[in-house]
Amino acid sequence: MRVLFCVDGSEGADRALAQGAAWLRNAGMQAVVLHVIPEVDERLRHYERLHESELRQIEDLFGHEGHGLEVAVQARDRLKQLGLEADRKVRQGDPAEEILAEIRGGAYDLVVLGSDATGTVEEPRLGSVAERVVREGQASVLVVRTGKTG
Amino acid sequence: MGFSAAVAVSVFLVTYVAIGTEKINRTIVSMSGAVLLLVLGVLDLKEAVTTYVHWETVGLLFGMFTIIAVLSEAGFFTYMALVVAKKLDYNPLRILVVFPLVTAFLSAFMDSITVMLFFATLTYELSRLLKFDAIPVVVAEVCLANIGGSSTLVGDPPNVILGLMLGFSFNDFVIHNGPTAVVASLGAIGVAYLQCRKRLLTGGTVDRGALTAMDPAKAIKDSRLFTLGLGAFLVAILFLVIHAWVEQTLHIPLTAPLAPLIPAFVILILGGNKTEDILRKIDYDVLLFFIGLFVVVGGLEKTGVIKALADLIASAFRHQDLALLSTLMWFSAVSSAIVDNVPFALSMAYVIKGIAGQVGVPALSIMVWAVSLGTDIGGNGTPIGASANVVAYAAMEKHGHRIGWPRWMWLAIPQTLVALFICNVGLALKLWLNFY
Repeated sequence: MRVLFCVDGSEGADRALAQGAAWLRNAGMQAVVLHVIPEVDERLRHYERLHESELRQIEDLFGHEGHGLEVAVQARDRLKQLGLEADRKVRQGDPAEEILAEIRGGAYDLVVLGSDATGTVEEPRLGSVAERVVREGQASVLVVRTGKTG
Repeated sequence: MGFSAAVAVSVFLVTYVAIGTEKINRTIVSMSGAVLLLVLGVLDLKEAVTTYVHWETVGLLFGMFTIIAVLSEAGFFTYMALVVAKKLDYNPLRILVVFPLVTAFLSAFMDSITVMLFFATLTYELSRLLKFDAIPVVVAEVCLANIGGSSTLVGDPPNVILGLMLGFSFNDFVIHNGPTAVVASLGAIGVAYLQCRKRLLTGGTVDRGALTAMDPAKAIKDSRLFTLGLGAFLVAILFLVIHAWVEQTLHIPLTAPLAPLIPAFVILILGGNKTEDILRKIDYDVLLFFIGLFVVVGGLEKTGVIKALADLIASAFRHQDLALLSTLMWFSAVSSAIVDNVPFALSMAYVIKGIAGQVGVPALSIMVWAVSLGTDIGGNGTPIGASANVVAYAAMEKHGHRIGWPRWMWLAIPQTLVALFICNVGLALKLWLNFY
């Protein structure tokens, strides 16, 4: 079974990762961790261009593995601690769009993601990313509720 | 309202909203607004360029940007942060308190956007190794950077505009806004400490070895450029402090814009093969943004809209000095939290100049301090309130630390409110002591 764990560096996504891994530990899966880096703000990109070499130097000084890769690497390490081997992937763009594209191209059986669910039991509401992945994703989706429910 | 006034107001409002929504690059928006006013005949090109574009502001900013570009190119900001972190023994709680104070100090003399670009990145890197939550530290750094920026003429673009357009010097800002900004900074950092001291550490194995092995000197990319940049920076500050005295006593025209421009051009001449790299780092977009805005707001001034607004405010607050000052400060603060503070400060420069010409209103100087403090500090309230906020927020997001508006506001608004309350008390005290 190919499972895609979606992470974004938030506490909620971490909890979803740990919970999903605990439930699926014995399922004999091939896991992939995906972090979608949101599009960088235009103004930040402008200043990054102005100071590109100095920012790269900071990454070198701190032994950084590249923007956004860090979150995926940490998630992969977390899975390893839980006894699961995983590959890591990083995409850039709109989170829902990129997760859906990854699902389309990766032949996944299951997608695990967190959602700061709001609303009530009668009228459940997922986050916008989870909602789109559930509706449009060509795979089963396990949404781990990480927020409060009413 | 005549046709020209209606056009000027419409172009100003559309420009203002378009800058706020950030759908189109703000430099393109402000320049388009300026061109529209020229095409519609509200202003002609000659008066736009000679009367309304404030070249002193553009010159001072160019000089400061050049010196900061040199410091950045030399590795100054990384070096500074690493030295401070080492002195603090890489203790996260100390970093929470001291890093924001450092950004406040640096932003008093430098462009806070560059300061925050580096400090947000470096705080994130330190947080990875020391296992602390970088978000409260970065938000406090932004808040303090904006508060620190209010303390001098060159600390924040609104101050450059207000100071140079209305004739207030670097020393005026240091004497009048400086002490208030220092107390406000201490108040804000106190709030940040109380908010986050118990929840700063995230747990996990701290990698101190990597840090203690790190030599801050390695961050200096070019020691000659580092010395030149630091020297130019100190000379610029010295010139800013003494320029009024030099002009009056020695009759040498060392104006405020020349204070950074002279050392800036000296380093460009001495920069050798680094000169092109330095010139590429200068933020020309911001200079064009300012030029466009000067014309757009100039349209309001020429058509009498600003005067009508100033008359209205003066008559509503006649003989109510503290009420007027408090309203100016809080209105500036709220406006700056919602939209870009540069067009706001530019409009307010004309408005308070208009108010000051009336009877029964406070002196122009104390109105400048009120607008400056409100405009600089109010921007803290939201992630889009100032360019430094946008850059720090986006930098954290890029590194996978999504702050979100609610968390930003939860952290920043109490710090901002305490700082603004202190500023309001400071203004009341100045009014009472007749010290402005």
